[in-house]
Amino acid sequence: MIPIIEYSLAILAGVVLWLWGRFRPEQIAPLGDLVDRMMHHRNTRLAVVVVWWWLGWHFFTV
Amino acid sequence: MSGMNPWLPVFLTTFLFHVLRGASLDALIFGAGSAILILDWKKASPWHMPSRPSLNKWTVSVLMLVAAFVLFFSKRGGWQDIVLLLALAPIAIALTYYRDHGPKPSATKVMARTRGLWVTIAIIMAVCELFAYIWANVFKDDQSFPTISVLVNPILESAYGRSIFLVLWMLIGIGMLGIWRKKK
Repeated sequence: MIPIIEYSLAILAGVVLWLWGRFRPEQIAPLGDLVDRMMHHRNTRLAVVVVWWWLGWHFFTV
Repeated sequence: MSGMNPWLPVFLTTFLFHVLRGASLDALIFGAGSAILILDWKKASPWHMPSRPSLNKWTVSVLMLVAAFVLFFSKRGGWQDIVLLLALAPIAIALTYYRDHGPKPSATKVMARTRGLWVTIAIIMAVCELFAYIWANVFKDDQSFPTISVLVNPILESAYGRSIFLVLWMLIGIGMLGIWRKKK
């Protein structure tokens, strides 16, 4: 039960942060801007796409 | 170590973690991921560096529909799912592997704060997941200490859940790669 509460709180924090960025961009940058900055370098793009693909593999084929 | 991809130590640690827990396929994926990062770092990849590829919305939408259709009608973990995921891997790498161009968007205080907050949430989530995994193994009870996979499994057993989850997963990938965003 405790992990479910922890996951829920982390997801809730993510949603709050996402909304905060949408409505108060002068305080918190919108998520899209952060992703753009993060994915500017090939280093990060390659790493992120491997992790993303692994998540799909892990969930759909196991 | 000059110019090393900062993600490489993370990948190698994850690779070792999967080796130690006996998850050979996961270890293989992170091993292959580490190899890609090393090849790129040492500029030893056999491919030339293209400019940024573009895909139109229709192509991506049709691909998503076909993929969702395959997962809807196949058994979870069946050969169709494996072929589909293996086919998506080179497409994803090809969409990622291009020359960096233009200056990096500036790092403002707001951006630094935002990045710090998102990284904090990601680390908290990862630590919660790791401890759930450890406690579940120590107490042999993954119902009281479920990892995210244990929670999501019942949804993925349903054909509808699997298809919806696939579309969400692909949309996250498209969002991160900025395939549909207008180039600035």
